[in-house]
Amino acid sequence: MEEHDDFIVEVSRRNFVKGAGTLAAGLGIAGFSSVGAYAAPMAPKKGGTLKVGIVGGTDDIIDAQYLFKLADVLRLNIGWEALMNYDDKFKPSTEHGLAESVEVKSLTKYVIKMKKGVEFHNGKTMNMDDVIYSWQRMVDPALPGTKALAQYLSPTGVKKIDANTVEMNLLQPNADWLTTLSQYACTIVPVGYTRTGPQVGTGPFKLKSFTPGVESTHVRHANYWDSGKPHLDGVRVINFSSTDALVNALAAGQVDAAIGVPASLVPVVKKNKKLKVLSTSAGKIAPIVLPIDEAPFNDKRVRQALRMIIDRKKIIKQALSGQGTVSNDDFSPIDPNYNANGYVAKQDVKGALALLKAAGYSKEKPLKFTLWTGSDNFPEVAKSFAEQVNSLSGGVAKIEVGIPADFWDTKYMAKNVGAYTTYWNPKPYLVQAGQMLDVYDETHLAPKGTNNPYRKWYEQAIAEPDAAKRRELIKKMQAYHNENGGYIIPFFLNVIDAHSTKVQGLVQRPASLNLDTFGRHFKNVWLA
Amino acid sequence: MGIFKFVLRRLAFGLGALIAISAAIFFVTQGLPADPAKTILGRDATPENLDALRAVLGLDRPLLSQYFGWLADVVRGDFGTSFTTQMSVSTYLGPRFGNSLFIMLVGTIVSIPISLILGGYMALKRDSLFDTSSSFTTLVFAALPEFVMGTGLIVIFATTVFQWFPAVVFLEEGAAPWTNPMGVVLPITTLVLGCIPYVSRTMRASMVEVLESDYIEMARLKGVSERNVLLRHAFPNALGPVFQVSALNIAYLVGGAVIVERLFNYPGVGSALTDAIRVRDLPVIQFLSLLIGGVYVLTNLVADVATVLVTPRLRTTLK
Repeated sequence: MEEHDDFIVEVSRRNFVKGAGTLAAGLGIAGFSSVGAYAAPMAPKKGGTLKVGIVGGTDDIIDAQYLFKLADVLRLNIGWEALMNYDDKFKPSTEHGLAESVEVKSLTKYVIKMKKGVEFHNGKTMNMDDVIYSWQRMVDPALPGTKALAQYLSPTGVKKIDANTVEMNLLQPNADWLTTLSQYACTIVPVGYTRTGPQVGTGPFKLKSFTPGVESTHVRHANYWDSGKPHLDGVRVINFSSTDALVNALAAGQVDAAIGVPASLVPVVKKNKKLKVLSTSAGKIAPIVLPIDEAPFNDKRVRQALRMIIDRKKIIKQALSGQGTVSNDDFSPIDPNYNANGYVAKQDVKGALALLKAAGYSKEKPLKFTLWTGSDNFPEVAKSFAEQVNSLSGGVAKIEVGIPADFWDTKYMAKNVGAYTTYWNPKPYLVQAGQMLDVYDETHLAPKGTNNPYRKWYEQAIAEPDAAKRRELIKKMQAYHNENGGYIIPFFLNVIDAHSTKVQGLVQRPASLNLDTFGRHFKNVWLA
Repeated sequence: MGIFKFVLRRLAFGLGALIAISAAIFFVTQGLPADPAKTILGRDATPENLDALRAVLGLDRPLLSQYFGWLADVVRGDFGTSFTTQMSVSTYLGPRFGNSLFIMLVGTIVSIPISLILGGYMALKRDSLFDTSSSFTTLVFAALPEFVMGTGLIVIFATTVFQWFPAVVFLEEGAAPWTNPMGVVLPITTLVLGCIPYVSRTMRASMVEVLESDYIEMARLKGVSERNVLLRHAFPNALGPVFQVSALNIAYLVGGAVIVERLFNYPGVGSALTDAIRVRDLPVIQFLSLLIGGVYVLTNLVADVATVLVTPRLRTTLK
């Protein structure tokens, strides 16, 4: 960024820097202590095609701005770039993005100067019409997943200022808008781009072929804007039907990197000296959701008892083979306002049983409910949680685990079905809170139109330009959520990948995306 | 009743079975939990998008109307369009069917003769060390799931002990499986190891029974050479039950190779079926279920006819 850096630092960056320090010191999250543990000592070598394996199927898609599964995220990141990215400390940064600088005029007005000479894969130079079209497509109500963005940006919200600059006018203030600009799916596409048309982006590799459920091949973008990069000639993404086959292929040297290695297979991979495991946590969560306005969870004592009775370390060991970090039911450890020491969730079986007794539950009249989960939604966590509660309560609680094939259709966010599991990738606190409040009202903590203090503080915080005042509001939100919320967040999940030792340019550090943020669109990766 | 009438009658039975299978497949798959439209659009699907997609997929029509429409299309050779790939089912599955057929045929060609020879020899050497050890070994292999056998082969021959063969099969788009001969060795070996125990043990039991029969004793008393006793009298009569087991094995290879294809990432109909079930791609599930059902019916028909042809007693009753 250029001259406007300072202002951006004022509204956002300082917090991120401080927060990252707090995070590292307070949590000791796996990876922070070993940043750069095997950073490449050699000069990058040019050439070669990286073979990346990932579980996928015929429902894989390629779309520059939409995705359903991890394979879609991977392909999106190979070909397309956003205006900004998170840097290594989770600060919004233009280093790897298409914006040259972002000036925050106010929390509703952002002036974005674009990098010059950026060329699309088809040879067309990126202009401001492309930027405007890209954001119009992202808030197009005809496409799914636009709710969160459309709250803040209308289709006419982005205007061209000059040949190299646009102005973004929001419908309402958003103190975390730079985070939105840093979302990997908020990419720039050429005017007229569609999912079914030519797949053209600005990323370091352009799509050559794509067969859903089989593979996609991506070749070097010769006129890529970041000079000297990428190092590779191409990337080949190979789909696997199971993680077993994926890890076998990695061990046999048939793929160079495996995205999404199950925690249970980490010991197997670690035994192989030709392979390296990247296992880090940036705060991905898999909460157990207790809708707070539905029985039996409308009794605060029940929610607190369920939080207190569990042994979180044991759940991590049982359900994640140790690949996780204890959480205290709060979320967003990448946020500078994350309070790692605020609410220590220590196991207290006696206290939990006393609360259940006070709520009227006993062996004769046990607390009963079903904990629903999907086969792709960490069922092991649900099983481990239920097992612990059932055995530690000595029969005072009886939780059944249900794993229906139609979980997302009939149980997720359905009314009066019991408890269920969900998952969230790491996000700053207010972004996560906004998603939970306005898009995915999983716990019913503060529904729209209610005068709930959590919602009130959220609305004040998101519109608050002063970082210190915003922090105070977030603290209140955290305290309220801890006291009244419906999430049990036993841990932060590790994101686990593995690669051959010949793959260079990847660093073990917390990242919100797999494989060290996919090696920044794979432009940092090379083959030794 | 001649053999021709017998075949016709069995064909009619087979057709009836197929119609019953088609109805079962259709109503069971349509009754699968989860809405295909929602599965395709994901959790961000809007009600409008869902309704539009359901109409496109024909899911808004009454179930019976959907069934008869589907059956009429199947009879015409139109198996529908895959929900996810948007390709016609036959175009999508054609190459995959060829891939599965290849490992199935090679697996059969390799496993059946080995099984017959092994089973026959075990019967001849009944109660010998060879017979006992072979019986024990085949029993162990029969008890091992394909997943375990395949994983064992991968560990020994692909990843940990030796690195002689690839652990998974990569086939370029449109490439035939025989263009990657090293790649298909381990999947085919797994299938062969899965089939040999059943067929060889059946062959052994059948051969033992035949060798103890009166007509074999009579042939020996008449001074027929041992070679002729075995090849002309014993072996053909022992094949009847083996045909039945082999037919079941072949049908298993088409549908039951799901685990093997998944383990080796082999692009066949088995892996297509698991993928289709995961994403609720009903036309693909229905076609593959019908195909597997059809193969079961057909192989059993062929086995019945073959059994009749090689068994003089049964041939006589048809006359």
